[in-house]
Amino acid sequence: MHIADGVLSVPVIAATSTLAMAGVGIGLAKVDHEAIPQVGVLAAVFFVASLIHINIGPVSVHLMLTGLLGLMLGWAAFPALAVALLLQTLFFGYGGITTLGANTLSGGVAGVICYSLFSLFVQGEQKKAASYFVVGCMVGASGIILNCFFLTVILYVSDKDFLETLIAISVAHIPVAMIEAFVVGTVLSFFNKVKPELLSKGIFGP
Amino acid sequence: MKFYLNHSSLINHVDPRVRLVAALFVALTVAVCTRFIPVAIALAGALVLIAVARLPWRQVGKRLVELNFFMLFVIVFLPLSVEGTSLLQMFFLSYSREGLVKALLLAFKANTIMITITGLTSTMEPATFGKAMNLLGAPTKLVHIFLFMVRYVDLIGDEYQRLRNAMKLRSFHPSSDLHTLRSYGNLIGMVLVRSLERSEAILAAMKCRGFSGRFYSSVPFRFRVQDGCVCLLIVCYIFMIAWHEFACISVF
Repeated sequence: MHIADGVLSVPVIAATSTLAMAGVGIGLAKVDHEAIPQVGVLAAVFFVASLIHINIGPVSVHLMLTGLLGLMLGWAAFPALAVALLLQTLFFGYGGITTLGANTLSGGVAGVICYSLFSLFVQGEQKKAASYFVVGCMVGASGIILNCFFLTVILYVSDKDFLETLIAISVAHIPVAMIEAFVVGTVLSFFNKVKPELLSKGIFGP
Repeated sequence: MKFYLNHSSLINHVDPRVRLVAALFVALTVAVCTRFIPVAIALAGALVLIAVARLPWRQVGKRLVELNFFMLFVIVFLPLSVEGTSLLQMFFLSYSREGLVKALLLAFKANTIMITITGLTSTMEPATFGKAMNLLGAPTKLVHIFLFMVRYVDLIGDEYQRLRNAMKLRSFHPSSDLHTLRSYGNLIGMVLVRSLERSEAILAAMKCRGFSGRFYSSVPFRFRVQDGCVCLLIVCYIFMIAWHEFACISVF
C-alpha cells in the first residue's frame, strides 16, 4: 500500500520527510562508490517484482518484497526504496510526491528491522536447508506486517478519524503477508541451492 | 516498459528544474487545502497542464485507477469514524455526512495532485529528471542509484519476461495455489541472482572506463526568459489557490 497525496497533515509530512531523509543519508553513507551499481540494479529488480500481480480468488495483489529488500540491502534499503517510489510516483502514478517521505520511511524502517533480526541467521556458515525456507517466511511476513504497521501509525497520527479505514486496510494485508511469506521463503531456499555464497557473505560482505 | 511519452509539447521546452519545483509546490499547496473551491481551481489548472502537455486522456485516466482504489477504502470507512449527522445506520456504526464530505475532499485532492504531477513530469525523460534532481541539490550517490535503476529496469523487465515465457512454454498457468507461489519465488530468485551477476559486470565495465563518481550529460540546462515567465505564472497560480483557501468564504 502507498499513502496518496493530500491525505497527511502538514506536521506529519514534515516529520516523516525529515526522518526519511535521515534514513536515506545513513543508507548512502553505507553505500560506497563501488556498490552503487548493485543498489541500483537491486532497486530495479524490486521495482519489476512490484509489477507482478498474484490472484487470490477474484482480487489481485502485487508483491512488495519489503522484507527481502531489507535483508539484502540493510540501511541501503532506504535510498533504494526512495528512488523506486519516486519512479512509481512520477512516471506511473502510484503513491504521492508529498507522501514520498512517509512511504520511504515505513518501508525503510521495516526493511532495516528485518535486516537486524534475520541477517545474523543467513550470514556465516551454512544451515539446514529447511530452515532457510522458514526464515524466509518470517522475513516476508514481517516485512509486510511492519510496513503496514508503520503506515498505519503515520496515518493515525495524522488524523485520528482514519481508525476504521486503517483496520480495514490492515485486515486486507493479512493475505498479502501470507503470500509474501511463502514467496520470500522460496527465494531464500532458491539462493541456498543456487548461490549460497550470496547469503553467507551478505551483499555488502567482505 | 515505457516511462515517458516522447513527444514534443510546450511543456517540454520548460526547464526541468522549474517543472519539478512547481510540481512539488503545487502538490504541497493542494495538500493543505481544506475546502473544495481552491482544489477545484487547482484541478482546472491541472487539466490545462494535461492539455498543454498533449497527454492522451485515456492514459491519464489509467494512472488514477490505483490511487482511487486506495481512496475507495477511505470513502467507505472514514465516515464511520467521523461524528456528525448520520446518513445511514448499520448496527452500532453510523455513516456520517461530515465524514463523507471529508473523504470526498481527500479523494478530490489526491486526484488533483496526481493529475498535476502527471502533466508536469511524466513527459520528462528519467535521465533528464535525474540531472535536474542533482542540480536541485539531491545527493550525487542517490541520483546515480536512480539512474542505474532506470537504466536497468528495462533489461531486468526483459529478463523477467524471458523467464515467464519459458514457464509459459512449459504450460505454467498462474492460479491461487502454492505451486504458483513457489514458481514465482524461484522466478524472483533467478532474476535476483542474474541481476547481481550483471551488476558485477557493470561495475567492472565502469571501472575499465575510469568511472570517477560523475556522470556527464549532453542535455544543456538553461534557465531562460520563458522559464522565468513560467515561474511567475506558477507563483500566481499557487497564490490564487491559497487566496481561495484562506480569504474566500465558501459553503464547504
